[in-house]
Amino acid sequence: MLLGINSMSNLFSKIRFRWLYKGKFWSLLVFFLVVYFIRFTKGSVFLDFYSLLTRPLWPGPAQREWLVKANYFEHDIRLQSLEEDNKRLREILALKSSSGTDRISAAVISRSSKGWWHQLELNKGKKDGIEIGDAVIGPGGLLGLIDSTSFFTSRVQLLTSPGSKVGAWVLGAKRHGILIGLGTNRPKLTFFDKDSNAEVGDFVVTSPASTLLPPNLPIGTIKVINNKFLPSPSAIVQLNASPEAIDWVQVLKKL
Amino acid sequence: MRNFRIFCSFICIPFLILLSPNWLKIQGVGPCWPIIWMLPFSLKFGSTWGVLAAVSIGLIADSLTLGDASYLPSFVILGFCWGRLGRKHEKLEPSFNYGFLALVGTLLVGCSLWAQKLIFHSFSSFYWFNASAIHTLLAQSLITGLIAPLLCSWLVVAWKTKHYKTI
Repeated sequence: MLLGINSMSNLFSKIRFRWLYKGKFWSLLVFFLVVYFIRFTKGSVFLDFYSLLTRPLWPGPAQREWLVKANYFEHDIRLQSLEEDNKRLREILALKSSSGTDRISAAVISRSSKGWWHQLELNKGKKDGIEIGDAVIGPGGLLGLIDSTSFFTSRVQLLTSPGSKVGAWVLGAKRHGILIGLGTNRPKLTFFDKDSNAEVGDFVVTSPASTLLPPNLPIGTIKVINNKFLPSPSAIVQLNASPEAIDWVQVLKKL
Repeated sequence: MRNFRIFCSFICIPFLILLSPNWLKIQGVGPCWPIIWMLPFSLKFGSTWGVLAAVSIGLIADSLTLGDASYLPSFVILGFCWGRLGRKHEKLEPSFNYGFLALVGTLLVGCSLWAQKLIFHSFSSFYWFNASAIHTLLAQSLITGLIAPLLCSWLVVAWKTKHYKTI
């Protein structure tokens, strides 16, 4: 009887759990655990390794000069918006100052400005103090926000990406709105008021009332307005900064 | 040695996604690199391995994107179907078939991503007939279908084990 039970248990161990004793099962299990770890960390291992590999190919310092020259246009728009903002702040005296930011220059090491995802990969990450939600600007103005970071790299969600939503302010019309990415080159601005009062050519900047982004960063100009759009008017905005051509960006670190 | 070659080609896919060379793009849209690796793998090794490969490459591809939509559902369907197709029609070698299968596969992946984006963004910022989605869908399918015959055939050759015949 005892012998019978022993032989049965041996038989079960041979039939049922035979795959447990195979090296292939354990190597597959380890492989899938590694793959899941990569997915869980949002590819940070790959991105860090990729940044190390492509280090010799990063854009040279000549791009910085181009960036400085292109910043003049951005400064003109910023000056105009800051003057108007100052007038308002003198009356209200309740908003935060826009000078509490620090800029970190970063090179674009991978870009996908068209397609299903509109994103950039930068060569600076947690090590340099970049955090999720920091604003990213290029020559011309705001490009997007930091979506995720690894130790050496960070990922930017562009303003054109579907799902991107940023508070905006129309300078000429003095109206608030929300800038929504559509997947095209031109995002949509949805006004909060029923009367938009905006005109084609008006400058759009980040909302002075925003607590997430620095105020008055240039975004773009209004190209098309639809005042009959329900429930509130909307406009199509041409962005100042073009992510297809930018090799260097600046991350505005919150202080 | 063959497993090592398969693993090396697998590792190249995320780097190709990140590198996305401009000269291999149509109007700024590059090919769907995971499809180019998954197609010959599934045809060669069958549906079970095809699904396992689809899950692996899907997880890797998802880790390199913003994360609002996933490659996984469409990849699993393709891995299974291509695996079955490879087992039923073992003479599926001509390059034209690779191009056609890659084109259809990329269309399916694109439709899956489009549908997910419609759901996740609550129809607020992504329209049914969004011009950019149609553009991406067609451009990606076309470029993937064009380069698939070359790269898939090369991968199949690279994965073959050598047989030495004696006279």
